Amino acid sequence: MTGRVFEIREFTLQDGPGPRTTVFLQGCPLRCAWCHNPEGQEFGGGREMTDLEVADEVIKTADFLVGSGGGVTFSGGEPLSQAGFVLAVIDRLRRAESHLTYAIETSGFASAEVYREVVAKMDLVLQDVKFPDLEGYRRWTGVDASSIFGNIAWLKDSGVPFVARIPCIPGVNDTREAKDGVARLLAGAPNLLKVELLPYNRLAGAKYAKLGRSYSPGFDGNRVPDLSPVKIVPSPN
Amino acid sequence: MLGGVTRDGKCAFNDLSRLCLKACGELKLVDPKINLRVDKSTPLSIFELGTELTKEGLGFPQYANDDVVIPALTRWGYALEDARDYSVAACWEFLIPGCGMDINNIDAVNFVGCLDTALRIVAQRRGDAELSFDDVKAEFFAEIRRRADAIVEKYRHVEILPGPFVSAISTGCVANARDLCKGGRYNNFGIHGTGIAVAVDSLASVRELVFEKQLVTLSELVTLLDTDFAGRPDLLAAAKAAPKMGNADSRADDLAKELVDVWGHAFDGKKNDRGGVFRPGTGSAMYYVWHAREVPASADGRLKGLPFSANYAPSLDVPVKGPVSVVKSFTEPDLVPVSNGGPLTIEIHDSAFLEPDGVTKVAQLVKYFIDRGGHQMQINTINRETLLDAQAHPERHRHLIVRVWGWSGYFIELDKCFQDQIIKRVELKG
Repeated sequence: MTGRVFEIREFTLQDGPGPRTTVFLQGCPLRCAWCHNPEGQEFGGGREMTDLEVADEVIKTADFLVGSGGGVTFSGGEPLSQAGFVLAVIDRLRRAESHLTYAIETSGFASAEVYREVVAKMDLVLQDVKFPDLEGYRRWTGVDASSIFGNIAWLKDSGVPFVARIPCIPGVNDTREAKDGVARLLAGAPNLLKVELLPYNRLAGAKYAKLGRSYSPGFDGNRVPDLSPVKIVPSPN
Repeated sequence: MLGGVTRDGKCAFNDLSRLCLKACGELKLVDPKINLRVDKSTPLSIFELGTELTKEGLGFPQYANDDVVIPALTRWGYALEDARDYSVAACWEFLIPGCGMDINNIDAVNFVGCLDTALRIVAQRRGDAELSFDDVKAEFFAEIRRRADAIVEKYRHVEILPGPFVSAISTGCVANARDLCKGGRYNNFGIHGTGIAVAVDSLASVRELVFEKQLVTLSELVTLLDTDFAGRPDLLAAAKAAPKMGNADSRADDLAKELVDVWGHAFDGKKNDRGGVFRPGTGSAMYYVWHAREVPASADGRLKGLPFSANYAPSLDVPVKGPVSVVKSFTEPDLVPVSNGGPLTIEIHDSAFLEPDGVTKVAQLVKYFIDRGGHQMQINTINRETLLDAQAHPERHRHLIVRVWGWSGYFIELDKCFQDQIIKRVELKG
């Protein structure tokens, strides 16, 4: 089986427990106005690799990953857009090395079946939560986020540990109202380990010119986003 | 030198070692240079203490692996109790305090120069049609041995200036009324080996370009080296794309194993006039700049005038997958016979320490190196943007420290060629 990969990066330190190898899958159905990896958006880009090639690349340093309590993280692009490929890679890795841990960084934009099948294989989910409502997603990422909210609701009851990651974009979703909305959305999840507020990357526009595209995100990228914390009401039980 | 074992083999890391590490983290000075002796049994928490200094950007501690160094020293004839007592001379060359009159860096062999000479000999001796890669390799290794022999001859008679102060604090000198310059318990000579990665990459490139893909003949390649690949950007690109040491790629790493093995045994059976042996190492000291000036372009695509990597490290400006692959590649060779000193030197981007657990993760990388039989390692925490800004505005970066070859220095005080070499090192992102 083949998939499209835009990078396999080793010794990633912010993608889950322990040092990890992160497989960045090519292609994303979302078009976030602030995307700082535009080269990962097109499904036809990147490099075609077989599941075996990806697994072999990871296996070369798997002894380090296992010895350090690390593992493999699938990111993107949107890894769930190549869910079958991700599952095939995991299947190969499991057969070669049974002690790796698996994480996925996802927008959650996938059908319920795909989301559940992949998440069930994960030790950790790095779940993006960009907005508390459909309107925010529609306006700033260009998708109907019904599936995202359905998947997040399921994740909260799944028992799979997750970290919520909120990209804080100045004037877009760093308002008190938006953050309170996200907090309400996440409340009551016993498996939520933490919430990470990721500041807008002010160099996000740098790569667009190289791709022959212009960067006009529709917000003031020079403003510092409000990173004040989100208060999550504890679960009633 | 902190940690390690006592003369009778017991763990010597104690509260004082811990305090010294903490104090250095607070002082943030380039001296004293901190070396930390570790082995397979060293707990991760000690590596974490060391990594706290790495995080501060001090370029030390430099780690030395007792599991490799002690057997290396006993192999060279040091008594086990003395071997357990080892320290370092200046940068990283091992020395037994109080009884060693070793000259740890008496000379160096330029591996890139050896390969250059070998390519010319082989290209001239035979027609291109009859050549094989094994001929090139054999001539390269023969040239290394010839240069080793030349060093043995060159230092037949060594006179050393008397050192009354050192003699006064060395064992037996006062009692025997004999200055240390006349010889100590150990009188070995250490020899650096420069440009290992460039030589390995060049050898891998010769194999791929000349023999496997047959893009160029050996004599044409020699001409290209003399002309800096003039008019052949295609071959320069092919040379740069050939396998490189540091990617956990056996096509380069297997050649490194052979080279290190030949170097490690190049002086076997040879003695100096004081009865000492020759200790080959993987260090470069400042030769990574000097030796690079003696050779034209190399077959790995390094153009004339560009320096080698310092010590035991991936070549400058080559694509490497990351620090784990670098550690993997550089621990493939058996490093016991080349333990005169010469650390794996890597540069980690300062973003590795953004999260608090970055210290643990970098410490795990060091431990991985030690567990795999690495001999010595030192880590720079840098950010290329900061270094470039420091060149442009030195007054804003008066306290910026970098690891140069076996010591840490203030970046703005370095000669430009040494500054530029550090900027070209491969910056590994976390």
